[in-house]
Amino acid sequence: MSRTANDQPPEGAAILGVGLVLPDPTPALLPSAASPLLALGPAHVCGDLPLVSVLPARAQRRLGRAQRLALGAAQQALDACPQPPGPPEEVAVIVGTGLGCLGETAGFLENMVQQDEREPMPARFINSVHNAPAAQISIAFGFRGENLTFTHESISFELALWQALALLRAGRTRYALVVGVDEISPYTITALRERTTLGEGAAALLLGPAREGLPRLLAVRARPLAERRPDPSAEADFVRGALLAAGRAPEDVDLILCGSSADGVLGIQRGTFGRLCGEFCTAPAVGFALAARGVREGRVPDGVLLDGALDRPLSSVAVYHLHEAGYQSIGLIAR
Amino acid sequence: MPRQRVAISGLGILSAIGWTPEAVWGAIEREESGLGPLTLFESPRCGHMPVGQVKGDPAELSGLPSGSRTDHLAVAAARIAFADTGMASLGEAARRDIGVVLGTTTGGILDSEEFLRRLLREGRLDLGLLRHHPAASPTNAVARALGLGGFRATVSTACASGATAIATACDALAAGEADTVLAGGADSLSRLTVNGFCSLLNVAPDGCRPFDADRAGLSLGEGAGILVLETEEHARARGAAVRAWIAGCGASADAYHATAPRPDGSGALAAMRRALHVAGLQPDAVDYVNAHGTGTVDNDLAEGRALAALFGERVPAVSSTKRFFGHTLAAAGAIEAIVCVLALQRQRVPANLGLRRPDPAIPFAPVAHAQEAELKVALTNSLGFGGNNCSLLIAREGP
Repeated sequence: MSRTANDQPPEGAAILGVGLVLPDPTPALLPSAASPLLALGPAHVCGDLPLVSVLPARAQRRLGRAQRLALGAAQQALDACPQPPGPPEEVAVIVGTGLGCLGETAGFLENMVQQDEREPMPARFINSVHNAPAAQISIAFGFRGENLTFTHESISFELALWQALALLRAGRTRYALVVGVDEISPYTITALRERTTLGEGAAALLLGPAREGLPRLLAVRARPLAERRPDPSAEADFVRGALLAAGRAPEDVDLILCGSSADGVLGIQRGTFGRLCGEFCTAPAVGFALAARGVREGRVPDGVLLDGALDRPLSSVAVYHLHEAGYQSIGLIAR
Repeated sequence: MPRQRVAISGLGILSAIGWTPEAVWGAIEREESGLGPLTLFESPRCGHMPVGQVKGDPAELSGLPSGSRTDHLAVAAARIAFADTGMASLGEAARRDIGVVLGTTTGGILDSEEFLRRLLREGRLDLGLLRHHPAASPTNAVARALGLGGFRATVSTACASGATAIATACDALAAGEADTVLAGGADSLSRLTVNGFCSLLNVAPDGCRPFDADRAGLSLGEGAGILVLETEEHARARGAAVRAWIAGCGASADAYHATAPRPDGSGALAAMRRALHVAGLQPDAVDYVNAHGTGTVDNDLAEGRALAALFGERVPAVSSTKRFFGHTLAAAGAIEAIVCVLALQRQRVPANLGLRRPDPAIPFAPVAHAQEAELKVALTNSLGFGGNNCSLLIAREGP
């Protein structure tokens, strides 16, 4: 998203509800793997997968891990909204997932290789598609608006937010339930373990018409980088430009929440969401959920802050992510 | 308010029936199916099912030093489209703001399958084979190969992915993210999809026969379809040869079942109605429908009901072109959008290949053989797993 000055409504979208399914704070080993050559951890793992009230428990246990994480976050966001969004045709579901339903895909393929195709597992194939979490949310809650899944590595959730704002602005939906989800897998740990402590989780924002007193998503931008790490001035220009386009100067922002790379940006007080969830493609979704709750409640958990206690109640929080795969994103949530 | 029309100024396609729009249209006119034996890999259980496999090695055309088969398909089609629109000579600076939005269902899964085979059968950990696993890999490969640095996104809405990517690209153009975006979809054949669809018992042993009374399932295919999309202002300013226009896009969710379509077709109907609403058109403006028409019993019946509900007794010419290409999953929506453009250009309706006896439960008969027609507006449907529906309206004339 290289030119984004005119892409979002200045009033933004109200955040009507927030959902957050976080992994356990202490890294743990994964329970099983198909081969002793695969690393089992440590990683931030969601120990108990959430159960939602709208589906029978037995049906939920047949779903994949990412589907269950996404459903849990979605239910929380919907429960937090005083009035159920509707009608169903006016509720869009937009999911961002960097790597999709890895467990179900791996399970289907491992079985296919080991059994030489003799005993296929159709349920795992059905659950393997990247849009399975978005589809399952629409099925569970009955939402029949646009249903989209973005799968662009570490900017998947930001693209989902961008699309939600575009739909709301164009009047093509009244509500948008935006979910970011990624699950941990022995394969990701094996492939990426030398870089960082990986994690998993899901977060959801229910967006709708602006309402007085609620936090608002004012802007989101994400872009691929020509170089994996931009020079500091270009990095600052990107952040400043996004904030100004949203009608805020950097000094108006109370806190900037970053991922694992939390270098100073424009002198804004820093926090990190990476500590709570480890690293995964849609970890910025956790940052957006923390920011929304922080603006609503005026504070974030102390463990998130990197520069000491806040000197004022939060009314404006930016979420910034510089991913080593070569992307940069920024979003702004304010009262 | 109707959305501003988006110019289609370049077409790129790689498929079982050809590597250029001209070759593809030639096969369509000759009513030659691209279905044939699966030779890309061995499949003890499902290898006897005919598929729409791309002949030849797409790597020869992509020019990529490495990449998954899906990466090669996407980049090769993108190069064709980029050349078709007259942008191949653009300098580095002019390419910096051009965007790429692609859909894929499985990306580089073919390599991931080989990784697993080596791991589980030979005890080898060849992590390099996972490099192209992310769904974003084909999108990034296209952007890097052509030096495109603008808006970038990958969508995955199962079999609707290619159409969804085009709709998302239109949103990006409307939002001012870019004035030119390459959009479409790509998927290679893979053991995952071949075995997966076989396990659901909905692959036709003798090839798909969409809307036929005796249809027995789908046939898988592979390929890529890429369209160069521009804002009207940009296309007119540079004097682009516009092939056709995207007049509207509509999407919906069935909210019904993980694989089966809502039987009354109301999900597909909602997507079509939204596309018409966005375009500011009435159903009677549609002259041709390129149906999703996979050849599965449930899909074709639900889509048939949706078309009947939308058009009443005046259903326009309808055909599914799946027996030409196979079901190319994420590429299907883009390839079929290209077929619509070619049909509008040539004023010809493609045949619903494979049709022997129209299903009497479907209240209209598809076009059995290619025919001349006056075509101004075409509609193409893409209906995916999980009830993801997307419809595109393509018009011959601009605003």
